[in-house]
Order: sequence, then structure tokens, then C-alpha cells
Amino acid sequence: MPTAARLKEVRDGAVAKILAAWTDRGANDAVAGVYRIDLDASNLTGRKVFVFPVSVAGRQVDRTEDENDYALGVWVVERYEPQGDPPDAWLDDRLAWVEWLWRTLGNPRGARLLADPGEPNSGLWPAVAEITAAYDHDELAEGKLFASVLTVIYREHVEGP
Amino acid sequence: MTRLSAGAAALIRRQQAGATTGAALTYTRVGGATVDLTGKAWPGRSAPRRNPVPDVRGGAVVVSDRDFLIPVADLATAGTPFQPARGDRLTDATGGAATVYEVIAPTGEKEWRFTDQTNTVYRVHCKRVA
Repeated sequence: MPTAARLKEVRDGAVAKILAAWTDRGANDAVAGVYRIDLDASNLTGRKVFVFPVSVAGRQVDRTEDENDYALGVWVVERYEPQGDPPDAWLDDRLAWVEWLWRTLGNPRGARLLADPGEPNSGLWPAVAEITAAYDHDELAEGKLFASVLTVIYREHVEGP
Repeated sequence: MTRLSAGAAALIRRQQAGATTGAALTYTRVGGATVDLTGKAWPGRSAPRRNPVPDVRGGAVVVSDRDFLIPVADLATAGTPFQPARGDRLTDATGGAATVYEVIAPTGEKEWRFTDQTNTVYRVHCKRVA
């Protein structure tokens, strides 16, 4: 059966995967696994990525194996700091970055998450990866924030009880 | 001067005397022109809000809203009056450290409105940006 503890491991594994892939991070850019976060829009600098554990689900595949799903929410947020509204080019760059993140987390042919090097079929792969909200219009209009949400469901097969 | 406009002028003087702090308050237009509003404008409603992220439970953006009340007659550069516009900024030096607000409309509202029937004071909606 899937467990909440495993969900936290998957969340932290996704954080590590993003950190490893995002090699051109700026000084104020950051990635964190969180349960809840209140972000003060007035002093936000850099691009922040927060990974939330969302849900777990499982089913029996056959007599020996279970299939477990772990859903994560990924929140990408960045404030446009100069005076006035962000130009389209600034938003284009952020959307392109979100697409890169979606491809990074959602590539089913890439290295598996939390794989055991000694077990070729261990680890989790992305069964579903979606850009749930490309950007939040209200946050953009009201707070000059680029805020995007991705949802990724990681799947693994484990030996049943 | 009608009794109504005289009353409005008296109200403005009373608000300026009582609500302004004497700290430097500067209005900066998007183009860079500035207006010194020290002792002329005063802060109004301040309403911090918490906006939950719709698609992720647990995430929220905390926004610090602040209105500024600015006499129409004082919002002018080189004698030419202008109306508040999205993207303009107010820098408030109350307490020593400068706090910067930007003119941004709340959802469903305009950036500013008149506070009185004689159109003598702007209520300008701002959000803290620094």
C-alpha cells in the first residue's frame, strides 16, 4: 500500500531532481519541498519553486505486485520587480522555463526517481505530468506575479504484502 | 465656494494636519516624473490579504494593500495635473525606512476613484512592492 511517508520521500526526490537539473539558478532562485507556504509578495525576489505532497493512491496489479501513485503539486512563482507591468517577453521566458520543468519532471524515459542502483526496475516514473495552470491571471494582474502550477503523478510497482 | 466644497476643503486640511506624518512621501510616475506629496497626501485603508493558490493546497500569496488619499490639486507636475495610473509608485519614508507601493487595482476595480462628491481627493489603490 502507498504510504504518506513514501509521499514525502517522493516530494523530496522531486526537489532533488529539480535542483540537479536546474544548473543555472540565480542567487535568489530556490527550490523547496513544503507542506504549506505563505509567500509575501512585497519582498519576493528570484524564482521560487515549491513542491507539495498532494495525494496517494494504489491498486493491486497482480498476485505479487502493487501499483502506487504519488501526486505532487509544483508551484512556480516569480515577481516582476521593475516599475510597471511585465512585458510579454518576460512572461514568454517564464512560460518557456515552466515547459522545461514540465519536461524535466514528466519525462517517462528519463532516470527513475528514488531508484535503487542495484535494482533495475526500482524507482518511480511520471505516469502523468501536466501544466495545471500555465499562469495565474489574477496574481499577474494584482501582484505582478508569474505563478504557475504543475501536477505530476509518480508511479511505482512494489512487491505486495 | 459652495458650502459643500468649503466643507471638502476643510476636511482635506484636517486630514492633512492629522493623518500625514511629515515623513517624505514621493509620487513617481511610470515615466519617471516625481511629485513631492509630503504633508499633502495621507494613507488610507491598509488591508493585508492572503490569496490561496487555486490549484495547490497549502500555497498562498500574502499581499499588502494600501490606499493613499491624494488631493486632486496636489497631483501635478510643472503645474499640469494628471490622474493616477497603473504602475505609478509612492515611496513612503515613515519610520525612516522607505516603503514602496505601486498603483495596482484590486480585481474588479479601477486603480483609483474620487472619495467625495466634489472630486477633490483621489483614493488610489496600491500594493506594497518593496
